[in-house]
Amino acid sequence: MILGNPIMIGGGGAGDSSLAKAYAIILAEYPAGSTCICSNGAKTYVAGNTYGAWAFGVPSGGTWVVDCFNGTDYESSVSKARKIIEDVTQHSTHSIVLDYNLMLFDYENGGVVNDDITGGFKILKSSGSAVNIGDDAITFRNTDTSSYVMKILSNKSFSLVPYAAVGFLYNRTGTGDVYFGATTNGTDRTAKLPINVLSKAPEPEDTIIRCPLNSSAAHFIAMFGNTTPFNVTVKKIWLEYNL
Amino acid sequence: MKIFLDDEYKCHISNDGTMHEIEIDFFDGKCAAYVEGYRFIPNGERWVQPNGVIIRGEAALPWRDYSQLAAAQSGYDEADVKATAELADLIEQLYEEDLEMFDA
Repeated sequence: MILGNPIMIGGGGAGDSSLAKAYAIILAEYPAGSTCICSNGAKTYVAGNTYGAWAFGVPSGGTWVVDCFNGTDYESSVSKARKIIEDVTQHSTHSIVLDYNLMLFDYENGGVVNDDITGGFKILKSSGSAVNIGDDAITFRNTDTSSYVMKILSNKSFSLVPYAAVGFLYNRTGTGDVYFGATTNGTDRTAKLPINVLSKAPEPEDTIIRCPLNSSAAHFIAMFGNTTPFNVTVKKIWLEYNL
Repeated sequence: MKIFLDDEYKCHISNDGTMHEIEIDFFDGKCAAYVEGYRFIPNGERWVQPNGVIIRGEAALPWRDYSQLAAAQSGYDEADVKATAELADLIEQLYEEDLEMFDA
């Protein structure tokens, strides 16, 4: 996505291009190169370019759906995103960001999101470890000296077929082993993650770690803390679609 | 377990002369088909994905569909259990025969 890209003015299609006359405005940011469409079912407006940002001046209230996709249409595109705005009222302005990543945990949006996919997250831990799943972060630290002290998993397993990778935005102290990835085992605290990327070094600044996925089996998204010591703060977890 | 990595970090159980050897416990007890469906990037090394994204090691990533690898491993484990059971039956049978000879 191009950040800082100037919002282009547009009403799309045959509609009124003057935002001043619009009933309401929907400001959309979307991945550059994508087609972006705004529709209420009766009227459909297409962003005038694919630079990654567009202002839709819509002529009526109610529910509007904004789609972006890389392909010929939304339904057939692998890379696509949709946001539904249900409360469009006169003179209102709505800013949305469309992203091809499927967010599962977002510290900027109340923690767990899209819990229809994950069912939220659960904790398997020993007495010598501390884990908290909050609105603004998932934190876990090892106060134990033994191995395999904790695992944080999605509550539900789900097919990984649509996804190329799972990403985590995190920071950490300590040098203990922390694995990020996926597993088919949702109950065993000590079982290794069969798909994982290991974090060992301190990362005081927010860092992205990506774990490529390749499985048609249902998996739990997981974080696995092994040996002492570490103190991890996870701010975002997302799935990246296959392109 | 000793494995060999090619220049794309794909795992092999034998070396064709161009690979480098590592010793890890991640694959302990795993069959050859399971091991050879993986890409393993050692700590401190990097693999650049075809899309340009860099994955830092250590990482254990199936390059074959993991469900196929899990199925291969499951078959291997079942065969191992069966072989162990057959061996136990054979030992029991020999033991019984020894007892019969001793009684005679």
